[in-house]
Amino acid sequence: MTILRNLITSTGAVVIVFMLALLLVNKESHSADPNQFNRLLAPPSKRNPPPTLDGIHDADGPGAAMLQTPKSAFDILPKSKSGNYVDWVKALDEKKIAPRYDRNDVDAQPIVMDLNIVREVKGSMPNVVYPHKQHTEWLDCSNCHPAIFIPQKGANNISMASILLGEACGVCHGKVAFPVSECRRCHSQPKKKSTGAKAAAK
Amino acid sequence: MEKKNGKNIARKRNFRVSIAWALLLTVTLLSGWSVPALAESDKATSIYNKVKFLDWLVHSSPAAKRIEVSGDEEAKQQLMRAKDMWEQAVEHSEKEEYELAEVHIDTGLKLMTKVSRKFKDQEKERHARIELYKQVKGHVEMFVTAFDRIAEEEGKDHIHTMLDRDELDSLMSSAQSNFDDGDLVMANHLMRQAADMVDSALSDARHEDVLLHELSFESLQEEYQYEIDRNDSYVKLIDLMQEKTVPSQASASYVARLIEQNAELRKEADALAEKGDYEKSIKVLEKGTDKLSRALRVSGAQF
Amino acid sequence: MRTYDENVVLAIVLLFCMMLVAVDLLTARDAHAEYGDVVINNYSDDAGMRPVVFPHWFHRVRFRCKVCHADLGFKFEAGGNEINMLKIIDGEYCGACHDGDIAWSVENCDLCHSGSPGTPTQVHESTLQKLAKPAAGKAE
Repeated sequence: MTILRNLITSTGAVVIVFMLALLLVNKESHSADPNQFNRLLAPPSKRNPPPTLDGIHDADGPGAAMLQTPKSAFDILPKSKSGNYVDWVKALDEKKIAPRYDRNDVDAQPIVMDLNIVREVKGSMPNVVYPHKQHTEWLDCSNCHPAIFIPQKGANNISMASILLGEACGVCHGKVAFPVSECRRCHSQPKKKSTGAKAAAK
Repeated sequence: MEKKNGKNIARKRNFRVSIAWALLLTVTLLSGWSVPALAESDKATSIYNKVKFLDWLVHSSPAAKRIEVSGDEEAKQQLMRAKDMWEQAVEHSEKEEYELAEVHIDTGLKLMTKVSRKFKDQEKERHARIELYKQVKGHVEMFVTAFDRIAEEEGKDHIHTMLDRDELDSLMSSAQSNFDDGDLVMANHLMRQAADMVDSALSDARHEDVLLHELSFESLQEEYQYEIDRNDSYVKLIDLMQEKTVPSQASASYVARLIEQNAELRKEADALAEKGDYEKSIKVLEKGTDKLSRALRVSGAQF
Repeated sequence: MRTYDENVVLAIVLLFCMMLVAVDLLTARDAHAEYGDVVINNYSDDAGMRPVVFPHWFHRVRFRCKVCHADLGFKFEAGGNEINMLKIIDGEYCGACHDGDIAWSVENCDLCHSGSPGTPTQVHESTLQKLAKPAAGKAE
């Protein structure tokens, strides 16, 4: 019996040391298993951490503990695969949020422009469809025109590198709006064999 | 005898176990005790900073100076009260009565917020209003030009009716006359109305429209320049990313090789362009940019 | 009365939990704040205050982009707006809403000044920040 007890105690000690070693070695990954599938990808439980645990807010300061945790706000909002993991455009459409268009006037409505710009791209990637509608629901014309985009065909040269550098679309996308890791959200119009003067489909 | 031994052994064991539990409990309590001590010192620093700020705000800030020269008795009274709050806050914080100090500071800050807004820096405000007027006016003019262009291009008569030019012109001229007279608030208000009018008209004119921006160039030379700019933007990004460590030694050398290949392809493209063979040059540049795209993806850019 | 074995098992479990907590507290945390959080540290460090963390997500639930970026004059640049406490009290920038009427007022220092001291100005979790080290001074 004593041998069995000793065995239990020593096994327990070995287990603790082993787990500790694993935790210290795999600080970056979220799981103790070194062969975990997608081991560096933050699982849903680790996304949108509360301010006291997010590494930017000072957890020792009084402020971080008083702030609302993002998860409590995002619970009722439609999900997405990147950025905040919230689909903000959908949240607005489904009226899950009602952000004001004017600082004081709660009922002010935006002037929405429903105009799509289809930008042809080189190579095999589908053409980019830029929808004014979703953007003008949030932004004012002067936010982009003419400082960031000249409202004229052929006047704006945009490359993926310039977007990643934070120019053009990258002024917002990759900073506050969804990042450009989801290609199909913009590159959404497959190329036709022959391009006419005006494409039919949106 | 055995029974007694057994009991002794059991008692010794239980005693050791209790010691172990006591140790664990003490360690837990000790770690828990250190946290409030940190919070105390933090509170003192926080109050100190707030007191310092309120001191500056009520005694030497531009807002306080404007209130003192204003001649408004009520505002001066409130400034006096805010100064009083500061004095009391200093007293309380010296006695380490942080909660009370905070209450006085908060009241002082709230008072100053309400009062200072009534005495804004007039010159700065005037300047901001002028800038806003010019900006909105430029916006209206740009969009009216665009609207006219669209109406002409589309060739549809009803588009012209979407914008009441007479009303727009009268709005803009009365805005301008208000501006010239010095009534900047009214001028901005009217100009904003004009802007909303043009924005709505433009949105109606382009409703559910689709514009195709084809990648067509006037000449091969233009396309060559476009490809040069595109390659340059990729070079700029990869230069920026070089400061970041790449995942492994193997990928580092692969990325370096790709960058070198692009540099060589650029030289080849330049040579071809000088000879006048823009078509081949463009193809070479495209290859170079593809190499850089691969280099960026290996380095961690997700696109 | 617990048996010896039960005691041993419980002690091992408690010790393990404590070690987890210790590892968690002692290891440096990778910063994974909310996407779009802007750290503004133009003057905070010199003034002895924690840097400001502006949460975009909280504000976009309540206001559209246009309100701050067109009406209130905020530029699309972290640290690119010359904001200081006096301007806020006078009603410019943040002070346009944080005045005690639309939103809470200036006396709640720690709700804004909640960043870890020394954090450089940045748009946290932005693509550019993840791709490259920020240039000296203002970052994208």
